[in-house]
Amino acid sequence: MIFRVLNRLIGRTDSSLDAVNAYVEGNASPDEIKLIEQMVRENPALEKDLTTQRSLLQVLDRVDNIEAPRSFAVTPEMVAAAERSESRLSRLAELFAPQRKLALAPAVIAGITALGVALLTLGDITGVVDQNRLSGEGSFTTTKAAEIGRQTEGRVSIIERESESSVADDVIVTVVVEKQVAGDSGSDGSTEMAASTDAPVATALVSEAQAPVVAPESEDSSLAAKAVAPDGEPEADADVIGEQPPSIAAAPPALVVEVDGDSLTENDIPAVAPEISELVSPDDLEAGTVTTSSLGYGVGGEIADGAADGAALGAAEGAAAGAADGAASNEGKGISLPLWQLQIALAALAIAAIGAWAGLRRARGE
Amino acid sequence: MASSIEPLNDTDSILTSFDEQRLIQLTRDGDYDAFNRLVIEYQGAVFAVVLRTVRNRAAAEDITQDAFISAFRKISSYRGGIFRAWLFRIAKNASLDYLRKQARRPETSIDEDIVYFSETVKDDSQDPLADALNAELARLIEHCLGGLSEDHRFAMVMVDVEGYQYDEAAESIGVSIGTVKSRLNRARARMSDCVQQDPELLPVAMRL
Repeated sequence: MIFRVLNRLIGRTDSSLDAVNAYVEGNASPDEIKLIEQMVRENPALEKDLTTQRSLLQVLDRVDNIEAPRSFAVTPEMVAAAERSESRLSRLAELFAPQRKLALAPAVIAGITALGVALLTLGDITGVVDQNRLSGEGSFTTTKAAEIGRQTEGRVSIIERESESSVADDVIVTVVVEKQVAGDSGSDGSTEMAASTDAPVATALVSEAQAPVVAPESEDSSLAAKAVAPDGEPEADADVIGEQPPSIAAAPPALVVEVDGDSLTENDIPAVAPEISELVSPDDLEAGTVTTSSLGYGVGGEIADGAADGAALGAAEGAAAGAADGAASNEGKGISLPLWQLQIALAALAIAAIGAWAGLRRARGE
Repeated sequence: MASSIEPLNDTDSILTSFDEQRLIQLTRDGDYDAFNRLVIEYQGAVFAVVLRTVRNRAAAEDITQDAFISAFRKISSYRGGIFRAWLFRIAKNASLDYLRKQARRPETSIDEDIVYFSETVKDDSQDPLADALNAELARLIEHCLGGLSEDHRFAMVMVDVEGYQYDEAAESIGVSIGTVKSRLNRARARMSDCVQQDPELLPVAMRL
């Protein structure tokens, strides 16, 4: 196509091409000879070129035929051997043979995915791309909550997992922090235990925003505290700070901490908190999903007279602090993606593509 | 499968179009003898084109053999047209694969196996000096032909050296007749420029 365009730019058309070929081959028609003569008048150097080409063809015409050195007859054994050697992989490699359009497909895929990894990494370093907490390891998942319950042998357990209809991905996890009280060792459910011990039960429902981009300030983060009476019914609901934002669908999993026992004081924190602290990763704490302060306030609130309110308030304040931290840490960042998952997936794809490319080359015997 | 065709040797006459189609049909049914009559008919032409394309005699033999084996296995994909051109296309693809593999292995030299036209240039003059000049000229032409791109070289070998018509060359290469003409035009121009590098070897008419 390019040569055709160039030929047209210099005034040479397909008809002139035919004329030149016919003239060199010695079978030009009278019209073609006239056209050649006109071209020669316009470009005298062309005459020598055409003469040289005619002489060249005369030399090439003197070349003898080449005889086959042996018989190339085909036998069933040859065909069978060829079919055996043509494995599935080699047939696949044929699809990517150099003369085919798919030849560079594996290399292109490898390049694109490697570029994707590089861009994500660069975005992570520069802060343009942020790890999506919803799917990141920083989120406090039901799996992790269940792990807490299992490892604390029921003293800390999941008693509730909710998914509010208006909040598609908001998983509410309720964890009961039970203080071991003599004579109550047989209790295993928070409601049952509350009844048997006749002690106030405080449930702190902490729904923290993960500081999404739409909520740059902590005050906008969703935050709620709920107190639960000993009979398990909600005693009081309190929106401590801020209001539930309409964009709660973007909110991370919430944490509900339920504290049982009126004798629970700040002195008891070390007996409970370390177990939780060991199970909750620093990323959880950094993300504001679970904060030591929320646990501390929730457990160590003034619950002698108003345990529920105190615990709820304390947990809510702790959550507020976490949310504020989260908001501050995410402020100004552009895109939230499941970063490390994408990086690993793309890197794996790049490696697979490179491996496939190398394998196909080997299958082709290159 | 037993063949219904009498065995032929290399000196048998050229097949008619009717015979060719009948042999192709028998080959589709798995008749090796029928296919081998086609092999005998075309092996010289296929080997010559392959040899002048890859310029390595051992490789050319392997490629030619593989091309015929591949043709037997893929005979069902032959949809008509010039059967020889269909064979040439199989051989051309195999030749180009070989050349590209060679290009990726620059350490592999094929100089010792280059097919010089000096072996095959016809000269009835019985003049030792003319023979020597022809040999040098043939080497020069072979050198210049080797400098062409694979596509241009194949077109030039098919048409200018082996003497096939444009339509058959186009079908063999898998391009249009216009593309063949265009490639030939450029190949001839480059060949002319190349051979002018050593003008004393050229016939008087070719000297600038």
